[in-house]
Amino acid sequence: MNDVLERLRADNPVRTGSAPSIDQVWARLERESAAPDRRRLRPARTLAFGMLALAPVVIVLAVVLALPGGRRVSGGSGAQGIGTVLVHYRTRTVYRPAASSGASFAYEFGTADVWVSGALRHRVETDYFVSRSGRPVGDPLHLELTTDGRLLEHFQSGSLSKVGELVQSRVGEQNPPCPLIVACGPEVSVDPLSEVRRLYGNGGLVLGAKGRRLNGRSVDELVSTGSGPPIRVLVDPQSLMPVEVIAQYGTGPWPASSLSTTTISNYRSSPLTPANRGLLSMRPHPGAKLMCGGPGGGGPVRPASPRGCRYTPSSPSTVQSIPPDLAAAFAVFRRPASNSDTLPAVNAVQLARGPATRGGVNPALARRVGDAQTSAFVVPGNGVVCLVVGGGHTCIARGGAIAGRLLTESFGASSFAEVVTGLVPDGVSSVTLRMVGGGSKKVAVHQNIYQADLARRATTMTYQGHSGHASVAL
Amino acid sequence: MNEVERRRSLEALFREHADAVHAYARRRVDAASADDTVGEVFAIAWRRLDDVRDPGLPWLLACARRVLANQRRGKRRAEALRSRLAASRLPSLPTAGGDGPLRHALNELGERDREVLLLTGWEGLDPAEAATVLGCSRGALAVRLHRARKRLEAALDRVEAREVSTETTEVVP
Repeated sequence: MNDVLERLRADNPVRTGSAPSIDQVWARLERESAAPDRRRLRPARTLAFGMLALAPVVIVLAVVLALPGGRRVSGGSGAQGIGTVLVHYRTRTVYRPAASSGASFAYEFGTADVWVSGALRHRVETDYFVSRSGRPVGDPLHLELTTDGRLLEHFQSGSLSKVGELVQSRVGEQNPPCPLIVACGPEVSVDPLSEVRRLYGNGGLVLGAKGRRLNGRSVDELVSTGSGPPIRVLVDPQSLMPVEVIAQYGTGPWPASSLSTTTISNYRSSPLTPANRGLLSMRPHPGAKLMCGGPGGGGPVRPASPRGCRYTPSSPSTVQSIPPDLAAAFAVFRRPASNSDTLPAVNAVQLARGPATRGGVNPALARRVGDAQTSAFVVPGNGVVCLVVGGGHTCIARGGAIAGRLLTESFGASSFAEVVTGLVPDGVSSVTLRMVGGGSKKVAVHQNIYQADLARRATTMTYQGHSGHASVAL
Repeated sequence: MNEVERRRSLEALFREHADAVHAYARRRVDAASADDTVGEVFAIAWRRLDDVRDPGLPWLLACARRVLANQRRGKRRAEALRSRLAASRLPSLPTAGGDGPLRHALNELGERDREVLLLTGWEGLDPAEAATVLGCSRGALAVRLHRARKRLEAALDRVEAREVSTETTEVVP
């Protein structure tokens, strides 16, 4: 009688199964949890921008440097990616340079209000400032960003910036999912709860410690597993709602062991209605001057025409070799590539996601520039060239770069004003930066790169090169 | 159990048994449906994590069995107007690529007989585990298995007798 069972066992048509990933299960659960009750969280389809207000590095570098001349954007009026739920939360972020940097201050982002709907649409409104021992230094900078994933809008006011300009620009049409929690730039938004659940579900975050105490409450600590900056997320044990995110940075001007700490509060999810839809829209000061960002995210910002900003769609192919004009102008593009030229994953992701993709930028052709302290990269494209510093990048037309106009401005780690990093052609041994209110600083050039940590904001950069005297307005 | 612990439990359950659940489904339905079944089974497991007893596989297979039955019922409802007769039957196991006579014989059995045999023969469950999947006692399972074997043997005899007859008919002019 057992023969028939043996025969049955021998006839097993599937010896071993090959189940799909558990992500399918989490996705199914999130769909189900969203469908019947709109008060609950919507599924986390978010492309993961790592929380704009999560890390000053993101704001200061990804936001500040991502656009030409330190102007930055984000925003839009289309409906792409808009969801049916509006998520609102508040953050407060403090960036603390490592003790080894000698810095005695922190950058503090005042309460930032973030509204998110769907995968792309979001608005961030914040006042941020530099502080010493917890006391603000100088006036805060008001910053507002909106985006729908296609058009970015940015408005800021404050003494550290040009006042009253509403800047529009296009962002990349393609927004592939971002594997990092804090490194995808401002053009995408995140619902922090969905994002943490998603990352915990797919192994991007794993349980580090249970039952930690934070402000009198018990929280669990999740830690990142990816190749990006180390991140710890303190979450409510029951819901996984993040209450504090600690990110560590040690790239670019940021010394190793520098930390950003972001607290998240006031999380609320509600149906998106005509009444609250306006919270996703830009609200610049009356009379704000409309400016247009350059094509491909590069070039100077220019005043808008009476018809507004117009953009010519273009999607040039990725450049496959160093363009001859760049090789002729910059020694760094004439040397062979080495291992140290590998662009950090964080930057590669940003370049891949951002408007630089429309400039045909090829991260594989990146060259590291400057000295060990500078940690900058130049990346060629079809028609543009990008300068990557720290966590952000600026791209401009190649002709502009050859004329010395490719530079970035960011907040520095050793002073509270700004760091200016720029690319100049061969034959330039130093540049002179003139500051607001007078005074200047002469800065040496190494491998086509200069970098200056300034006590005050710079207005112009000048140098003497093969082609004569050059002056660039900042 | 808090959220984190629940997630860890489900992940552990998935790691240990997802392939077995997939294999169970794949032996009965196409690949896409099998993937879907795995997702549905573990989504149910998440909601009823406290009910999952160790060892988890029998519970998961019982769940998969119900999921597949529901899928069949859903399909049947859609096809009901076309064929009430077809709707009352189990989907046949494919006979190509395997032990043809055995598959034909299995297809002649009722769902109860077929399932107890497959759980034992293909899923490799012991009587206690198979009893959990089928929601019966171990004693009842032994009786069901015994009867199912008998019916399978009888069905196999009939099938093989038909095949001999067919071959003879074809060979003799």
